[in-house]
Amino acid sequence: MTHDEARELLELYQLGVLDEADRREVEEHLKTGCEDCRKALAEVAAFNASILASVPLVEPPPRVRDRVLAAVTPPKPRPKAQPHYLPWMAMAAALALAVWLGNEARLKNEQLIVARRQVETVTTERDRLNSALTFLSAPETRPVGAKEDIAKPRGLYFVNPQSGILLIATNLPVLPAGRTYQMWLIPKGQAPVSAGLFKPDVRGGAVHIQPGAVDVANAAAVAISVEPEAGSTAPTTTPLLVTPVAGI
Amino acid sequence: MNWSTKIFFVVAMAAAVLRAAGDGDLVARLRRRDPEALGELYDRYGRLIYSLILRIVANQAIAEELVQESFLRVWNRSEGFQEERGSLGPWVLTIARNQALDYVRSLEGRSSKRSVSVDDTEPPVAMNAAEERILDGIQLKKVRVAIERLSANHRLVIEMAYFEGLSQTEMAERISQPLGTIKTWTRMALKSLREELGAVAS
Repeated sequence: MTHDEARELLELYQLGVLDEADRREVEEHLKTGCEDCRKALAEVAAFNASILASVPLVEPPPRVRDRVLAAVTPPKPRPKAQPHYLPWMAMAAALALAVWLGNEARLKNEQLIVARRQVETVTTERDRLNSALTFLSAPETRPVGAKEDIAKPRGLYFVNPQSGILLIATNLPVLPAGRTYQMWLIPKGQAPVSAGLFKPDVRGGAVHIQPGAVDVANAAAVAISVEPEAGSTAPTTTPLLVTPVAGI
Repeated sequence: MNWSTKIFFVVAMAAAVLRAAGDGDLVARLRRRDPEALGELYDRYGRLIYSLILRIVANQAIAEELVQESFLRVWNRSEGFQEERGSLGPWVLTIARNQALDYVRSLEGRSSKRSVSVDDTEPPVAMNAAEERILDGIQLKKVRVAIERLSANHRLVIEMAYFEGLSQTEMAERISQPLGTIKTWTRMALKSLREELGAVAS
């Protein structure tokens, strides 16, 4: 295809309506690097556009512009709609808050009821234990097998290898000022070891626990003594309620 | 040329140059994905695009739909723009024509064809001052007059090529004329128009 032949087809080529054979030939010619055709192609584009633009002008409905813009504009909350929505949103928020608060109050109330029940249970339990301990540490209480001797100090030791030693005592002599009772664990063939300080109630009753593991197998006896307020490393007065620990 | 004609011509030239400069700014803003810029582009070319598409599809509802699709296509391709300066008009027109012809061809079961060079696969290029004038009102009036002056057969082949997207073989089938006759008419018609509108290209 000569340059003139190709140039005559450039308008149709630019429009994309050339038959396949003609299109290929025009492209072959353009590939030869024809400078005139390259320049002409830009002119042809303008020429074709002016023919396309020569159509009778018709005004499009305004909705077309709206639709074009709506398609590329990210949706925004319409300001006019806000005063309308706001009371509803506020009401919804208030309602949600009320429901939540109500729920919270109900939950709190339930928790309170549970706590009260627990306290009641604990109180009942404590009262039961207290009455038992009061009963045990009362001067008038004695083991059924023991002789009735109200004035004599009396004590009952319990020992547990893991938990320690428990003493329930009655009729303990009233302590002089600045003095305390001290419990002792006396191992076999060794010096007594302190097992804690305690003071009895006004009636001479006491419940004392020395927590901790106890080497029961090597324990010879348990006892108490009156000691200075701070306690002693070894008994300084005659021990009371000396009770041998029975071997296993 | 009398004075009032000269002044009118100068004003029209200035308006065309300003409009083209505005397009350069529009290109930059479209590239930044500024929806307002698409609004301005629509204000400049929306009526022309609608008119062209309506001319091709001859259905108002479909034309509205295709205008929207055309501008969306411009929007989606705007990031590929290379030139700050350059008239968007011819490019937007080409996109609109392709959209409308694709629709018509799909109705007729014909395969889709694309125009080249200012195809929508290519970003618009800077145009010289003469090319920027192509959508100028005076120029368009000249084009209408030139087309009216064509003989009926010459005008028919121009219509079929530009607004129906028919190849010369398709034209020959459509109006039952030998392909050679169609080729002659087309060549003659384009020659007349080039001569009448010579000012555009030179």
